[in-house]
Amino acid sequence: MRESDVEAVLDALRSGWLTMGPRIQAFEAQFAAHVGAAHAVAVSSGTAAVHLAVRAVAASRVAVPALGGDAAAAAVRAFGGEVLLWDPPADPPPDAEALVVAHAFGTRAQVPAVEVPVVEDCRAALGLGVGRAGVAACWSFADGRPLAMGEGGCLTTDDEAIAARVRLLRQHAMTSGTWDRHRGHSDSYDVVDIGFNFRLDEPRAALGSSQLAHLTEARSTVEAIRVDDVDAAVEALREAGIGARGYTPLAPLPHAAEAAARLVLLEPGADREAVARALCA
Amino acid sequence: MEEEDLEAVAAVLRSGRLRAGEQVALFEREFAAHLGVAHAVAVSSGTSALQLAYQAVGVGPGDEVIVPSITFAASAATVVHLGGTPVFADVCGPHDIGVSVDDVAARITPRTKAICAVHYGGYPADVARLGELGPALIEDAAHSPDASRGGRMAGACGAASCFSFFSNKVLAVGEGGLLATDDDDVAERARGERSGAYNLRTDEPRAALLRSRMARMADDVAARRALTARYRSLLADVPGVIVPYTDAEVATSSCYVMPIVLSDAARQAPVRAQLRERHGIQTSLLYPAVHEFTAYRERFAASLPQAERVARSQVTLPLFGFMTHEQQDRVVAALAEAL
Repeated sequence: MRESDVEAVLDALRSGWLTMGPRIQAFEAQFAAHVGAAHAVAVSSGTAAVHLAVRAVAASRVAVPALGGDAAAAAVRAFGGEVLLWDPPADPPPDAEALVVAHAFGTRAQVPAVEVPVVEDCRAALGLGVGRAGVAACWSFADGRPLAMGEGGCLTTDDEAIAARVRLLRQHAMTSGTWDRHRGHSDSYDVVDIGFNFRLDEPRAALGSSQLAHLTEARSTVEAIRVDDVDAAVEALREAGIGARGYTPLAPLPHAAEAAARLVLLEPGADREAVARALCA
Repeated sequence: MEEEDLEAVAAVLRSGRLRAGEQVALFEREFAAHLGVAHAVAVSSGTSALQLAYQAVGVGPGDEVIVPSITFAASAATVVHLGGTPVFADVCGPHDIGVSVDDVAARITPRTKAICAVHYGGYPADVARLGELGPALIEDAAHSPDASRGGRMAGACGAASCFSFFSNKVLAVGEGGLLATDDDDVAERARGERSGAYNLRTDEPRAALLRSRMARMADDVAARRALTARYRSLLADVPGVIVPYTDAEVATSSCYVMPIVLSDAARQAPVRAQLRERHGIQTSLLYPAVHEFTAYRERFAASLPQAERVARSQVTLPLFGFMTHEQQDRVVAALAEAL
C-alpha cells in the first residue's frame, strides 16, 4: 500500500460518488488491458466472479478440479448444475459441457485442449501470465493478493455476450432506460432475470487502479504444503504462532504423486522455513 | 464526507490489514447496541443480508416467503436464489405504502416459511401484527437504519433484520449491508454462510467508514425529519398530491425518501419529465411493482391493485440531510407548476 493508493481512495470518497461511476469503468478498462482481454467486469469478490462465470456459461454439467475447485463446485451447485469431479492431469470427463481450470496455490495449471467452454479460476494467479486460454477468467483482489482491495474481484473475457450477461447479473438483472413505453413510464427500469448484488464500489475501484499502476511480479499468496495428518499439522503450526488451515480436496486424487494430497494452507506472508521447523519439531 | 471519515479510512489502509477484523467487529457491536439486539453480522450488501436472513430461518426449495410488491427486487430475488417462491402481497395504499397485514394473512399457506416486512421509505411496517401471524418475520430495514414504531426499533422486532449501506441510503458506504438478530442460532448460521458457497463479507476500510459516519446518523435523521415535516406543510397546498403517512409517523421515521402519490396516475410520467427537463430536478420511482417485472410477472404472477396503483402514480422527491429550504421551495413550486 503506497500513499498514492491511499490518496486515490480518499479522492473517490471526497467525490461523493461511491457506486456505479467513472472509477469502476476506468479500472475495468485498465485491468482488461493488463490481462490482455477485450472486457473486464469488476465485481465484489473473486468468488462472485466464479459464480457469474458459471452462470454466464450456463452449462448443466461442469467439470471441476478436485484440487482447488471448491468455489467452482459451490457455484455450479448454486446454479443448479451438476458437478463432475476431475483430477488433472487426467483427461476431463467426456460428458462435461464446460470446464473449470483452477490455477490454485500460486501455480499454473495445464489448460486441456477441449471443445467445451473453459473458465479459468485465476484468483491465486495474478501475474502468472494465465487467464487467456478460456472463455472467461476470474480474478481476486482479496487481502493478501498482489492487487488487494479488501474484498474485490473481476471477470475478464473476450466474449461480448458473456461480459454483458455478467454485467447484468451483478446488478440485480436491472436494465436501465425506457421500458414498456405504452405504460407511460419514463426513467424506469425492468428486472429481466434473478440477479445478485455483486457490484464493486468506486473507492475500491480507485484503489485497484492505483495499485495496478505499480503492480510488479506475482508472489504466491497461499503457500500449500502436503502433509499426512492435516489436523496435527495445523495444531503444530498454531502452537508455533503460525496461521494455517487444513484443506482437503474435493475427492481422492489417484494421480497424485504422493500417497496423500492433504494440504495445509498458510496465511499470506508466512515463513516457509519456520513452518518446516514447526512441522518437524 | 467529513475529514474524520477520510482519516478513519486512511488509517486502516495504511495499516495494510484490509480483510474483516477489528473494525468490522467494532461496527457490528456498535450497530447491535444501536438497535438493542444481541447480534449484528456486517456483510457486503443489503441483498447479502436478505439472503442470509432467509437462509438462516430455513428458507429452501419448496418454501414460500410473502414479500410486498412495492420494494426493491432483491427482497424477492434472494428467495428465488434459495430455491424458494416469493408470494407477492399488496400494500395498504397511497396513504401507507407498507405491506397490508390483512393481505399477508390471506396469503399464508402451509408452505409459508417467512414474511418479509419492508420498512418503506424509513416508515416501519406494522411488525407487531405481522409478527403474530406465525411464520418467521424478516425485516427489510434497508431504508430504516434509525426508525421506530410503537416504541420498538425497526430491525429489532423479527427473527432477523436486514440493513443496506448502499451509496444512496441514509447511512452510506458504497456497497455494504448488515444482518441483525437476537437469535443466537440465526447469528451463527449467518456468520457461517457469510463465507459459505458465496462470499458475502465486507472489509476493514468500509467498516471504518461506517463507524465514522454512524456517529452523525442521528443528526442526519433529525434533519431529514424536519425537512419532511416542512415538505408536508408545503405540499398540503398542492392539489392532486397525496402525501403518505402521518406527522406522528414522520417523527419516528428514518425519512430515507420523500414519497408522494399523484391522484392522477396519468400525470406520473409528464410530471417527472417536466421536473427533469424544465427545472433539472431529478425524481425517482420507489418502486415499480416487483410482480410486474419481466423476471416475475409470469413465474410469480399476482394481482395487487394497491401496489399496481402506487407503482403507476408514485413520485419520489429529492430529500437529503443538508437540503436547503430554497431547494425544497423550488421542488414544490416546480411540482405545483407541472400539475
